[in-house]
Amino acid sequence: MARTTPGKGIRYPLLTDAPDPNALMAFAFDLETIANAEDALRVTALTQRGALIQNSVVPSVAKGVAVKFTFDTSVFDPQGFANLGVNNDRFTITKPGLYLFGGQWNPQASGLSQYEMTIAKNTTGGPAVPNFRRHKYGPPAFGGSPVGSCVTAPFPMVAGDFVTLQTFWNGTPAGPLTGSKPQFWVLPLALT
Amino acid sequence: MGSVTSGKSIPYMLGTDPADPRFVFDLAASADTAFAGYDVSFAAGPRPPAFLIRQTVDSGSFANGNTAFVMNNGSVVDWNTSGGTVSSSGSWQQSSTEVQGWWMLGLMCSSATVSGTITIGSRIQCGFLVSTLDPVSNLFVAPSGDGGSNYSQLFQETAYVNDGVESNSGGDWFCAYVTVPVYRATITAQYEHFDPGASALKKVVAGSVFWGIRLGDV
Repeated sequence: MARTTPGKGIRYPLLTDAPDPNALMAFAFDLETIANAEDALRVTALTQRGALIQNSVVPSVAKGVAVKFTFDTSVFDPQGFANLGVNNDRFTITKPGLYLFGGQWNPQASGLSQYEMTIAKNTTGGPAVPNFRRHKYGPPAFGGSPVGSCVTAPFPMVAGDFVTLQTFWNGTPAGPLTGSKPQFWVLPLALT
Repeated sequence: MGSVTSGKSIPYMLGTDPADPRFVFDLAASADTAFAGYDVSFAAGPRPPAFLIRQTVDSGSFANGNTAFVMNNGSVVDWNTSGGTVSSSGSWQQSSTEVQGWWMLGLMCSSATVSGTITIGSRIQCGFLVSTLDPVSNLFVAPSGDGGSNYSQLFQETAYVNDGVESNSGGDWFCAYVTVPVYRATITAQYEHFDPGASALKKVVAGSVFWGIRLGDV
């Protein structure tokens, strides 16, 4: 008669059962199956905590206004921070903690006088203090096109908080600008 | 009867024990509990010590060549699982019971012009003033100052240029990062501007953040 533990369902015999090598074999195999599952969980916990999303389409970014990026591709997201079918512009947090967010988009134009990359918390519009972190760039140091731009920013988050990635630029081009395909990532630093 | 292993307390039978019909159940239940414990620890995710301080009011104005301690004019601690403390002036003090460890520090600094006209392209910079002890001697190992022939206290002076065009403040936003080994340390984030051709006064804007996360033991 097969008996199982209440938690993990490990099959085991009683020694009062008729001797059955298959019962002990099933016990051993159950232990191995669960151990393999725990190994996979450990890998996820230690190495796949974050997420990376990208847009396969080059954006068109207007001049002189805060522009929010959208995304259509989840490169990796084992914790489910993004749900692009529901909201294609954000990471939404389910576990409270301190998170590090990063984003990159390289505008492609000459004559830029400034460009910014911004991580904005709980807003899809132009952000206001204190709900954003930013890296502002002046005129490109090498004057060329394209130019690199990224931002990396920490935020304390509670369940339900979300962040978006935005940019802003000014300069002599009339715009809108194209550039690289944007990407956006998240890494939990410390959970509560 | 029976016994348990010394490390994980896994039950086992001795050859001299009378046969216990529930022995395999005890073994299976032990494995069940152990696996459930692993599940909990893996699901919990990371919990390294960390802190994040946010400036809540604009700083006072300061002139060319002066240093401002960021967070010094009113700040809030948004996160502190570091075990350390944050002073009223915005310095972070490492826990005195923590062994020497690697900390990654970051400063995201917003600054703006209070008066005057900045020289476009002149320098602004930020850095981290780190006062740490030698873990063996408990002596302060770095003399004061950031120059000269001594080891410096001032880490990662990251320089940017004045543009005065940031879209929210009409100033500048920039970031600095550094990773340092510290013991019983006091760390302050600071900001400077160098605009030798102008009399512009600058300030650090509310919303700037100073943060750190412990990476591990030295």
